[in-house]
Amino acid sequence: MDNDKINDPNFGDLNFNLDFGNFNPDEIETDETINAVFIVDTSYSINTYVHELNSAFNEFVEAMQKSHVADRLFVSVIEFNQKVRVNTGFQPITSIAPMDFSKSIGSVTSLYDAVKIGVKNAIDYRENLENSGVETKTLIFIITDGDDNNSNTSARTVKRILDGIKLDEQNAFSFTSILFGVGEASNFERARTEMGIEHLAQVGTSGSEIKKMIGFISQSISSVSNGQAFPPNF
Amino acid sequence: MKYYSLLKRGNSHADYCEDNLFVHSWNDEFVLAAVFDGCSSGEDSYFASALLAKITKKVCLSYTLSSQNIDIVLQEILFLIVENYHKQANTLALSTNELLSTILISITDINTKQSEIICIGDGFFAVNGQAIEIDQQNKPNYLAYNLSDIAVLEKFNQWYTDFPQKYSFYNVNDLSIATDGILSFVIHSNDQKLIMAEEKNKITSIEFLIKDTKLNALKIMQYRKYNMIKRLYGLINYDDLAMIRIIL
Repeated sequence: MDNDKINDPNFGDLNFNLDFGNFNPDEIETDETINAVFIVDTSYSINTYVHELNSAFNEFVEAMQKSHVADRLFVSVIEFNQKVRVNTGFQPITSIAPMDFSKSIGSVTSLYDAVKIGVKNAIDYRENLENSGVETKTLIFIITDGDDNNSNTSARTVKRILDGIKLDEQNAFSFTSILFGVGEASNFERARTEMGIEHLAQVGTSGSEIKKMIGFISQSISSVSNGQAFPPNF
Repeated sequence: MKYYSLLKRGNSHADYCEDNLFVHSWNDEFVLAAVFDGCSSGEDSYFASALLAKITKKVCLSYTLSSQNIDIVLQEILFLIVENYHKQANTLALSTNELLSTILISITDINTKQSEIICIGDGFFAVNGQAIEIDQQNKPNYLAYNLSDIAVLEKFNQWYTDFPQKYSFYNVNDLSIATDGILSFVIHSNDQKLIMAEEKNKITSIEFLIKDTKLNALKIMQYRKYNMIKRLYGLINYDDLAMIRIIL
């Protein structure tokens, strides 16, 4: 991945040797895409609801693969605990395989590193797409308890990046971030504020709450694809 | 043979795109391409263009090739379009003002690489990258002005024989037809460098649409190029644009 694409010192040397393997823009059969990034906390704290999360996420993928936005929806999935792992770079929803977030549950939470990496890839890919004639709407979904205790990146750095993105007129209405806070509200509320995430939704850990969250994500994607405002009420 | 279409509302039109287009291929032997440009000072001219596109579709779907001479095919199809347009105008009690749309049709023989083009009103086409503009100083001679006169075969044939804006081309490898919206790109960026280069970029943009083959594996090629023009040159079409490009 080329770190020079964004001339923002905040991105620094944030390669982490991660290979995103994004889909080749020259092979995209549409002139507008919706790029959804899932940044999923797989620290120990998600143990209580990871099976519900797996099942809801995989149902979401299956449903979106059959939806009217399937040919325009590209998804990237990033997991984080002590490490940040790219499960998939941006790929068409039709080629996203089922995920199992319970495979690599770790002990600590590198939330800010993960958000920074996810956002950087989203912006790099967006620029590649736009330069090859594809207009793009980007949605960043962060699912976490918010208690970062391991990042090299500060929340302030993430905020600077997100603020910079929103200042660019071209991104003003086509780049949205939302944090789904699970568990202790004070942790994720602070993380959201400090990172400058636009929207916050509080989610319980029951199966129905996790399903509700994924349903909200589906609805958000549909709304954005129809040119409507984001987000609908959670 | 591959064809690529592009239909975009112009920046000056708030609600409707008044242009339309249609493409049809007979057994990968002949291909018809048609673009229609509704007159902005007419009444509901988006409807005139759309009606012409639908009629052209109906005619093409029911037309059986009677000749290998594409000039004859073009003449026969155009008469059927005129006849049906006249009928529909009567059925819907449409006035001349509601029928104002230019017609630019090409028929190409894919094997012999010969193309016949007729342009009723103004328009633009390019053969193997060479651009030709049919300019009628913004006063196009619309089909609607003569519609009731030429809806009878004998009169139509005479009109067709005498009609001047017909063109034949041979060794065609790359053909584009477009409404004059293709000439209407204007700067929409505040970038001073782009503003300075506006005229040069306009020409480059048109050439990009009619010559460049990047992304030709994608059916959406012209839409992608259009977006690139918008992003890289800061240009946007002021007038509606309908365009079909055929690469043999």
